Amino acid sequence: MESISQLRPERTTARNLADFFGNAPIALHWLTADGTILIANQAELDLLGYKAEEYIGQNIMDFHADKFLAKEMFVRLKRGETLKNFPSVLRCKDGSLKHVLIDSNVFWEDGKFKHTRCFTRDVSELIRTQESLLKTHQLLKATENFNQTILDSSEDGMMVLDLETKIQFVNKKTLDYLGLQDSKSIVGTSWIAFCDPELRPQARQAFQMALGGKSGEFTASFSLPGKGMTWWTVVATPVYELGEIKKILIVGRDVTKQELALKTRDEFLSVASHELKTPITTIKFQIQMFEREARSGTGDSLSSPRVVRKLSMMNNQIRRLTSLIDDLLDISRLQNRKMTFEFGRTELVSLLRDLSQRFQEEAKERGLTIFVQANYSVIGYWDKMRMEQVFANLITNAIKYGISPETTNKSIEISVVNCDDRARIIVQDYGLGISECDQQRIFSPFERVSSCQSVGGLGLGLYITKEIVEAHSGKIWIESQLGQGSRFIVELPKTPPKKGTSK
Amino acid sequence: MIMVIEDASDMRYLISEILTGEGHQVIGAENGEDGLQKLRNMGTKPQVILLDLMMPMKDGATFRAEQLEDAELAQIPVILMSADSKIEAIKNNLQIRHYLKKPIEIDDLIDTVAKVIEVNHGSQLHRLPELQPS
Repeated sequence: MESISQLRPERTTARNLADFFGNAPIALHWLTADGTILIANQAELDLLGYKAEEYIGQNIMDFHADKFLAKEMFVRLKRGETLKNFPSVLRCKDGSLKHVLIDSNVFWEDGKFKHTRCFTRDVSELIRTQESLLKTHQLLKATENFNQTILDSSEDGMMVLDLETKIQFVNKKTLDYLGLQDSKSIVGTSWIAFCDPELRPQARQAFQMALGGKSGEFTASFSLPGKGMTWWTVVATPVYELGEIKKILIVGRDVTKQELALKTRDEFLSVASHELKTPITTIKFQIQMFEREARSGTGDSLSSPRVVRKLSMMNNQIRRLTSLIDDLLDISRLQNRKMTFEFGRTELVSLLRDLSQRFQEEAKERGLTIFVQANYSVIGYWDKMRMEQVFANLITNAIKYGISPETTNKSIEISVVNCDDRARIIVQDYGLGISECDQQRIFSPFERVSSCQSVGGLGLGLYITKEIVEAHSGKIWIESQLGQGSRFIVELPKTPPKKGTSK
Repeated sequence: MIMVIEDASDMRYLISEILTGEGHQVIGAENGEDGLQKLRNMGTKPQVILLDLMMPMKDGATFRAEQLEDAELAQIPVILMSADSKIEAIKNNLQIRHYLKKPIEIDDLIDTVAKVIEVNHGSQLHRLPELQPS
């Protein structure tokens, strides 16, 4: 075996170099100035899949998939540049493409272009990896967009926090709620600091719960721009990535509507209990007074006018109680859609005259007089009892609200207009009147004009009235101005409604 | 003298009748506003005010707030009358010491009024020198 020291350079150089060139693990070729391949080693042939005779002697341009890149390379080489990691794409024999990086320069002799020296490294694998990474990235991005779409379309306000309570992301709803155009001003700030000071302890606790792998929840109420007071349930939930908590999701649900419904219900219950207890208190008082008198032995006084007055008061109170309870029953029937109607031939004018007679006394006590203006009969197919209820309600209202410090007209006018297939009934008073914004509410259940909140009644009358009128396929509306009295208009078709007897 | 501020006329009438029967002089008012006006026009202020909570125009709470702001009226003791189940809390908020929960017992009405008049009469005598410093 020859040792390296025994190799004689002058004899071994050419052969060794040829061997070195031919077997080098990196692809090598030389090109002439016009691009003809002078020589290429095995690694290069292997790379592209050609045999030596198919490759050597051909023009390199034929093997470049990207001619522009190839041309640029040649121009720069001819300028004398040395290229490092020049990216290019070569076409293999089987048609596939190889991404390569080429190191190259020109061997000049006496200022003449002799040939290039090109070292070609296959980076296809690397590029493929990069491409698949890019795809994964795009996929992630798409998932992210998808998630963002989901978060943005949610009715809940959502925030994503890092583990140090810093806000990383907020959804569109949150921005809407806060009245912000974009999230710039809040992203990166602490969620705890973002919360109202009095909510911070709860917010911190919920966050800690989430950090511990559970959900933390609390309720909050605060004022929002343009919305007034709002109520929220806020939940902090851990977000796991590869089994570890990486983020905390905060979801805020607006429960203002439910909260207001509860408030309305509570207010209604409070009004209802007051309204129901007031007559009971008076009745109870009177019974106790009778009892005291009976005990004290002056039994003969039971026929005195005082007793008559008390008994009549008791009777009135019981009537009031009965009417309140009737209203409550009607409400429950209406809400369960179980109110029934018996449509029959009904004459409206005499019905209204009877009603005005019945309420004249009550009106007189308040200094009011009821007038019915109609000189003819108006006949239609209506539920007589329910019609009485409708107009008794409107007359009672007119008596209740028919006096105002500003008006001198102390009348309640009921007029009936007969127009072919419909009847229009107008109940007009000249009292307090109702502002435009309150006009929207008065026909809803449990609503009463707030400034008159303690005039009495459950605030159900107009709701029941409207439901009855609508069950007759009719309409009811109000025309009023604050301080100018109110005008309730009921319009009823005279024919029975097509739709059965129940609403 | 006793003032009864109550919007339900039957109720006002009955309370007046009962208290008149006990030897008191009674003046009625339909609501908080009516009550304040009558109080301000009275030379001798009543010894106690019976005050309903829910009334039109001016409710019991508003009446009480304005009464406390008026130096001439602030000292008159008030007995709150309400059917509200939270009457205890309400009376405390309104700085009122005594209440009658509706439906009211006649005996409670008579006793409470008598007690308030007696206590207040005593304490007012006691406090008189402080009230008139000069």
